Amino acid sequence: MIRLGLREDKTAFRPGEPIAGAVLWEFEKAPASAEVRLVWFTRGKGTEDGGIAATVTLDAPPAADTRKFSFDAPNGPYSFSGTLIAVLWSVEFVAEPGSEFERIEIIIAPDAREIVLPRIEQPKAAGMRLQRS
Amino acid sequence: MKASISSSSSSVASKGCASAFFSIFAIAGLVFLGFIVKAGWDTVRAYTWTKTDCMIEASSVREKGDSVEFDVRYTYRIGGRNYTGTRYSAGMSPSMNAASAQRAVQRYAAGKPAYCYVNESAPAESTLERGTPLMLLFGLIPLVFVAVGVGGIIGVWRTKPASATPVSERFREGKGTMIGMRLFGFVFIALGGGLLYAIFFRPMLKEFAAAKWPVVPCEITSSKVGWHSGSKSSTYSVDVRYRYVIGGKEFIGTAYNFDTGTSSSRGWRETAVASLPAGMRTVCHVNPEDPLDAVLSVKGSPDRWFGLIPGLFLIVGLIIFFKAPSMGRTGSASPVGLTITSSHAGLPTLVHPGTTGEVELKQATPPGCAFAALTVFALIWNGFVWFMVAKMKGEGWGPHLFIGIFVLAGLAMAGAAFYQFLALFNPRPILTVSAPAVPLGGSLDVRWRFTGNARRLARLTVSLMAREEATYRRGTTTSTDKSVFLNTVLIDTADHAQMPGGSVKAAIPRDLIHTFTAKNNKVIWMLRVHGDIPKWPDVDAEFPITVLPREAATLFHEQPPDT
Amino acid sequence: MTARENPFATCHLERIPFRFPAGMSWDTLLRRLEELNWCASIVGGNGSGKTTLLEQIIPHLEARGFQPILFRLQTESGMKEKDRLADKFREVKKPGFILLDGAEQLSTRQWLPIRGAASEAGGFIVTVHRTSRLPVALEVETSSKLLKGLVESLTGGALPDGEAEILFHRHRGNLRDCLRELYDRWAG
Repeated sequence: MIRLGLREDKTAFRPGEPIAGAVLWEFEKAPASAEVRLVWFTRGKGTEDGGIAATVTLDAPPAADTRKFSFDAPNGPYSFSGTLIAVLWSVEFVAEPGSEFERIEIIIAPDAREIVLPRIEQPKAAGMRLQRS
Repeated sequence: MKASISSSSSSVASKGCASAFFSIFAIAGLVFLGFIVKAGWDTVRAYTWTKTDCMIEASSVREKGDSVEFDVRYTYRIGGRNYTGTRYSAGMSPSMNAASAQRAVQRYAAGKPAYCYVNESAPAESTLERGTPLMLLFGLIPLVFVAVGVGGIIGVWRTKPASATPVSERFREGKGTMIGMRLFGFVFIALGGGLLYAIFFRPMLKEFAAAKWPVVPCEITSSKVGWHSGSKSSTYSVDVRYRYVIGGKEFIGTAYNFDTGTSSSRGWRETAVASLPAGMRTVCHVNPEDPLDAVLSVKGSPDRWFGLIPGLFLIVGLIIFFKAPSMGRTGSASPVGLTITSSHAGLPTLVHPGTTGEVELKQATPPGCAFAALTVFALIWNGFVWFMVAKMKGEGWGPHLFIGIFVLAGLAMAGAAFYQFLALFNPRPILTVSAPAVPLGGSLDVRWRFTGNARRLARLTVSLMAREEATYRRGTTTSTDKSVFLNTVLIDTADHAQMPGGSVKAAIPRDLIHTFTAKNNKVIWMLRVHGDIPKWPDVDAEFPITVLPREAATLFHEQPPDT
Repeated sequence: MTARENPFATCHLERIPFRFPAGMSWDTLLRRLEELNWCASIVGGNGSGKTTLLEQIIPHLEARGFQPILFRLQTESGMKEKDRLADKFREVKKPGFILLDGAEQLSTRQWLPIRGAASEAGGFIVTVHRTSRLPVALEVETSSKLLKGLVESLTGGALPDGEAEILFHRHRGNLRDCLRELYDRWAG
């Protein structure tokens, strides 16, 4: 059993703000490793991209425990959603072996609000006049 | 577990292979350089010799197999002793042909006084002509090969993994690569352009001129199809010799037409030789300004179109030359040396190499790229199609109708290439911005100017644009979709006074997304310049810019975001 | 609809479980593969789910003690990359298991050494467009009915009557392209 939580149940952060929380787990056996990761990934029409922005390694994890963690929200990429691409952030707890995990989706953006991109008509091809937006 | 087929990081084995590859370049260059240095030394040495009066004892043209030689004997006096010389030229000089040999006979006729150049430290060594120092420029060609080879080997063994090299350093390294690539491109341009002119354009220009030359009676003295064995196949030439008289003096001509060289086409050569049997009296075209410049036929041979092949080298050279800046850049495609790049974990992080101040933007697609790509494609396509057409002589209507579709497609491609060729003569926009990057909510001062005649533009538009680009797999191919989310016209003018140059402020909205560059997903910001030219391809150029998160504003104090 | 909410986003498409034709299942496919000595081809047109099947068979092979490695040939893959494939295959020894997506792109000259190089692997499954190369374990076929079912599972709703058929015919049975078009439609 895993319970992952963020302080004050906050899931939206400004760049530079602390992302703090705690994780509780109860397994039958002590995991070989346990980490809390701050992860970004894309969603949309394109093949997914992603990466781990920061990792908190929980040393010598017992079979059951509760640990606190904290990250600083990075300056980018902002959480956004457009027509083709969305960038999402999440905090994940991962224990090995067994690939036990828990995830909370969060937002990292100015004003702590996901940026939603407008969609405008495609500009015409070369040789045509541009439209005013 | 998944594995891709793309190559893995450099290993010692791959470095060894790369070194072997570059070694071939370096060794070939060194060998060629050795020959040129030797010939160059002979050329330069002759310029230190003393100019001395001499008397031509005998001079004649001697046939040696398929070639001709100029035999000369002259006497001169140094330090009270008489010497005899037989050397015509010392150092690097163009090879001798029938016309140049006859010219030499005219210039150095027996019994005439002349000048020769004598090595005072060894007076028996002399020459009538000295080599051309300009030909020393050929030495640049092997030097480039040596530079590429040696530079490549050093580069292979000095290259560190990307993670071990500061990004700023990697940008700096790009400069050396760029110069190397430009030199490499220049060699291709020089070789391709020179050969294209010599094999294709020069014969055509001469034919146009020769059509107006006077026609003179001449007699064929010998004719045969020359056979030249090569390592893989044989090539043929029209070996013809004829005599004609101009101003009471007899001359020997050896040129059948203006095409140079040999080829594997035997058929038309046999026909030509059969039509010119020895003893036949016919006419030749003689240059009124140079009676040694004569030709039997003023029509191009069927091999003429092979002369376009060096054009491919020229195009490749042009691409390498103009793409060198982007080839030399090892980081992402940011125009200003300041980029959002992915760390090994994939997180886009801000890298600031310390660049501030005004920056000239680079165009996303360099001018000429579309022309080069379309031309290469059209040449290959049309070459193949017309070869098929030539092979189909005597076939019925059906096959001709079928191939006609491909001919039309080829003509359309040639038309498109021509359209892009015209676009090469468009005025070219140059954009300068006040900072290498701008945060969301900030603004950029944009200055534009044109190289070329901007007065040809009927209307000019400069826009700030931003778009998403998502790349995805479609089975075994990949596709990229684009979606524009900002298109703000900064200037839209039909005033000719404003078009050649001006400035405008580009305000970056604060509530949008910054530049984002991941492997398959990108957010690209750019300035787009569009110019209407009546009855001509329009000017259309995109200049990527870097837009940073708002928090990066502190890096650019002069451009704080509006709050 | 934004990319975050679009039900046809790549991440959702990649998680659609492979749908077997009537009478087939993972069990029957694996039995058939075993009969063919784990050396077989999956045959189907573009966008018929061959790649999905190949990706989703991995845990089933792992459960049988194999160590599957997925190789993917792209149209953009150069001649040298294709030629190098044989060297990579030679390194795969039992219980290593080779899965090759896009084998139809190999010429006979390239295929023969690759086939030989895979002989020491625990198994060799390829996807191809037409029956060739290796004995067929499964022929994957698409239908407008299958498209309807996929859309329902992705969106929880149904396409208007006749729409699935129109899409299916427009993309000549390529379900991947049908779903990409639906992404654009959902995006507005």
